[in-house]
Amino acid sequence: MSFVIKKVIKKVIKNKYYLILLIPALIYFFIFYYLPMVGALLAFKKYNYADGIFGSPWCGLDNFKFMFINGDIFGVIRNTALYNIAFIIVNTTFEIFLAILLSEIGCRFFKKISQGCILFPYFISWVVVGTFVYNMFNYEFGAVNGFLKSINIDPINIYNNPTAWIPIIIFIKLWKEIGYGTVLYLAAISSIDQEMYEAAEIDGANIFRRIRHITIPSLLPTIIILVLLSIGNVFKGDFQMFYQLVGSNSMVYSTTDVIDTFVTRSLLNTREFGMTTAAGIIQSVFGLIVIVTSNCCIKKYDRDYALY
Amino acid sequence: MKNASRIITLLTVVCMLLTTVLTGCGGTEKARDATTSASTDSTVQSATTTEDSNKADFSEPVNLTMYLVSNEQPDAKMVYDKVNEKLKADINTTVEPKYLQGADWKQKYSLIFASGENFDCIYTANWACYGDQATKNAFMEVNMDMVKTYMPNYYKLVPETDWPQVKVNGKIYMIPYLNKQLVGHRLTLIRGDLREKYGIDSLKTVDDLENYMTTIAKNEKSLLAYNGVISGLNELFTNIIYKQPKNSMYVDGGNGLFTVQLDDTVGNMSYALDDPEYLKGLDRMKRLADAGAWSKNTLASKDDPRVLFSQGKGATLFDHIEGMKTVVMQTNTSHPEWKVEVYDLSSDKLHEASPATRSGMAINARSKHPERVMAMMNLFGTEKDYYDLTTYGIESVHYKAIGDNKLESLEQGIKGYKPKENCPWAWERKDYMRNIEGVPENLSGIEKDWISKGLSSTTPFTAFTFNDSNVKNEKAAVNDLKLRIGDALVAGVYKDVQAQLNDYKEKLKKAGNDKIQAEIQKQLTDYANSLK
Amino acid sequence: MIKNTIDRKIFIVIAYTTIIFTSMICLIPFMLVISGSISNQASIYQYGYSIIPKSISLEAYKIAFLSPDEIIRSYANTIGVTVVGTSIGLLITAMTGYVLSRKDFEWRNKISFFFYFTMIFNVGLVPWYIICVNFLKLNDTYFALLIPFVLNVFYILVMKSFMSSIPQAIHESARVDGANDIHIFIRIILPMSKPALASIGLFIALGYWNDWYTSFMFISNKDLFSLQFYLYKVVSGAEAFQQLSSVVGVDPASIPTEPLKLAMTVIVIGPIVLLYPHIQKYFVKGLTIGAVKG
Repeated sequence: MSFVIKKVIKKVIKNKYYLILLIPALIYFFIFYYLPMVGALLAFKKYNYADGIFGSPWCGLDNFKFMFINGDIFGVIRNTALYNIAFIIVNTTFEIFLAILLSEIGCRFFKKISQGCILFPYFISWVVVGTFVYNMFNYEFGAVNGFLKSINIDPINIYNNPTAWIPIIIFIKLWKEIGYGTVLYLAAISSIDQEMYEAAEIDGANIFRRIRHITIPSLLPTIIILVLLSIGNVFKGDFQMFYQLVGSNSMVYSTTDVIDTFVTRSLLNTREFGMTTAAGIIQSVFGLIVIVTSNCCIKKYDRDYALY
Repeated sequence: MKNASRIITLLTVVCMLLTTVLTGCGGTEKARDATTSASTDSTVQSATTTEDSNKADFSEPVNLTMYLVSNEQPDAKMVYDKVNEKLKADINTTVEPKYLQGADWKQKYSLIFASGENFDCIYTANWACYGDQATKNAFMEVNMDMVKTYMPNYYKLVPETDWPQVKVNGKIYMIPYLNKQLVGHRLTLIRGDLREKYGIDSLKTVDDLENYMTTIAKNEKSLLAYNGVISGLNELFTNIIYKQPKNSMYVDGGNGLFTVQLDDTVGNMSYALDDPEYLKGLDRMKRLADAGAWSKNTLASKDDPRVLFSQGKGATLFDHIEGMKTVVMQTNTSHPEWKVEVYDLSSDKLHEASPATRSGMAINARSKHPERVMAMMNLFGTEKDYYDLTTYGIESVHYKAIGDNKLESLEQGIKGYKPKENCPWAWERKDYMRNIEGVPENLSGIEKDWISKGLSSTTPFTAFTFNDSNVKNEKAAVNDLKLRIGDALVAGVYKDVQAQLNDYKEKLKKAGNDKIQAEIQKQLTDYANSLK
Repeated sequence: MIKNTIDRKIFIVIAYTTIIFTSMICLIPFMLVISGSISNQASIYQYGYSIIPKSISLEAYKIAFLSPDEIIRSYANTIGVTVVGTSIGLLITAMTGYVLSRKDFEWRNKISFFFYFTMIFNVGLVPWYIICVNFLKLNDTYFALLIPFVLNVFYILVMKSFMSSIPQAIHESARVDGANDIHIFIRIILPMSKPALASIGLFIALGYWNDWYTSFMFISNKDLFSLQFYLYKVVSGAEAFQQLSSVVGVDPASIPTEPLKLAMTVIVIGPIVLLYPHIQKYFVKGLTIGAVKG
């Protein structure tokens, strides 16, 4: 027993500087994330303030039932997951593409301006985006239909068309977040050793080959990390986005309802912490399964690329 | 040089570690204890209050914390400083208002109870978390002896019938306001100039309204007969078209599926979806929708119909009388040529009054000074200078008083303390209210008409609130269905109304609506029996 | 030396077209925002949004700046919190990312998981609130704006990824020279990670700049409000009153909420637009060239 302790102490001393550097983060996450995890208990209790979290009576899986009674939950889960996967694929592709283009351009002024421009949408709140979209798409007075009428085409009712919203949502999400992701990839590209490019150029590789054989492989660790980080949240929908764009337009719920909007709508008039926590737990558990699986797969491919 | 910078960096790191450690210390173990210790507090409270109930002892200065549901007005501190001057002199108490601001205030409402924050009272209402927080032991039970001792004048002004209306699970948890608003009944507002333009007579029935809206839809291209949101269409359908002509009221807390008659005394509940009138009403909504009376995308719209109306983009509004008053006043000022007219399309039917839970003050279960809260409410609601201060601001700074019941807003008032905006609604009192000088208000006629005809009905079931704690899951599922299918039916979006209604009923059944029905019926019958 | 060969020419054409196109798509809505914020609310309802405002009115800005001392104070709060918070947050994030990137740290995978787990399993709103308010006593303090979101797992792990690309050789040679890990971190790793620090630092700063949630949750004292919360209060106060006005009896159409929402966006983004070009210079290729050779 004391042998084990001695071994541990030896390891701690050996790694002391590392541990010192880690202490702030460890404390922070313990206090703000691990301690509050007791809140997960709320999902299994009938909460009231007098008894608090620990004193309130247990109620088993009661708080979970509301999600499943309807029968729509599976469609909602499917929507959430599919959208998130689409977002990951589409956004990553375009962000890498844009980052590579930007990194090769020489003109500093142009670079500055365009990088600033693509960040603008990040600052526009979903409320404003929702208003703009409604102004564009609404049937009677919208800009799109105004344009169609002026060239003698019948107006279209986009808000009634569930399938149309799939590309619309993917596009809007891309528009909003492209600036953010491009910055990250740009930073990664900036760290790539220039010598490799010069050597390749001397060897006669044209720019496309240089990108394909140097830039992209060098970016691979970053790409994998960012994808892995997003995958854990594959069952969490961007509530603000869906709420502002779709709102109460139930005509398109079949393709646009996600777990978060579904739960909020169901609990609109009930402030039951137990039920909202239950929904959160379902999302977290599924996310955990996905991430553990993905990380294992990546580890088999190359241990260094894994998240943990 | 190298060593010095090493030391400095090490010191910086250590300092930061210390800060984070110190802020973190003390939190870890206590988390468990605090939440359990809270439970002892509320039981201790009720013991001490019965002892003190006959002593009006104000020898100790006390500072109350009061939570209000509104944005803090810029001059609120200035106003409440003046209030506290008087309050201290009168009952040796001062009050510090805190605010639940912004659009997400409901979330914060529950959190301050969950964290056991120290405050004495909070604004509450049936639309401001009263029902669901009361069942979680957030509020202290209101002891009627204390009310009679510490707020005698206020108590005299509260109608006897109000106290049973604010009961939750048989206990009283709020002190209701002193106004009776007839907001259960919905009215219709239209543009009179357009009515005259198309030679339509004054509206008397729902058929007349349909005629008006269809005419407008056919002939006016720059505006919509109704331009707004789905909740407005719900007002039109669930109230004006369906419930009011039948003399009924809803008893299921917002889902609009179960009704009783206003003059019922035994609790005969009906399922609205089985009623042929319901289907007829939905057909009417479909006809209107097809005629273009409202936007095909109303379900997606978030614009405020009153704003759209004021911009000339809509021709009708549906609301209760209090909401109408504001619109009428504002339109008469900005667009008198529109000649807005307000109609009660069920003027000969019984009218549903709104319950006393519409506005009031609740005492925090953890408060240590409930008697002071009551004494404060007593003053706010019965002494005009307190009322004017908290509601309208400081006289001659924020407003100019004209007589007892009128005022003129001053510039500082519009900038710093708009009338009625700093959440003084808990002690709102009809005869103390001040209307803005000079703006005609055509609705008092309608109100007087109702009262004289004895139409405003305090039915036996006005005080009934459905307690859904046994059917929370089913209610959540039904809520989702209502928002998903029910609203779309009302908006007239589906091609085959009958088929969709059947589908809706099927899905509701699957979601456990029968269980909810049984539960409401049981509570209703029990309630009816308790009244005998 | 960039040779102007034909493949490069094609590439440049593609690059410029794509980037200009993307920038336009991102810029035009923003121009609508600016134009809408200085428009008259009535003209927005009449004509919708357009790049050139149909009728100009600064009403929205007047309302936003109604209490100039409040808005100045909230600007000051937000600037202060952003500077301090970003410095602390970036430093700790870099420290943590560095340790996790070191292949000779045997517990790095377990600790990475310790951090990552919090990203997925996050269901404790009520206890989080209780901890912040009851035990850390953050209510109505400056720390409430600073501490709750100073660290973010995403940034730590991205930092870890960036730092992993620094060759092991550097560590080894520095160790041989007698430096300990903290020294290596400060003297060598940090200077080599400029793009990573710049980008993560930017994100942390933006997070603080845009934050209204901590003010909403923890602050009642208006002297401590952040900029975003102050503006959010102004706008949503206006909207909330449109809903409540039937209770209160307030004129719902008196506040131009549409231009106000847009003015809010402009007021918040203003300083960022000025700041960003300075940070942008870190995203240039070849920044880390001298380091490896040296």
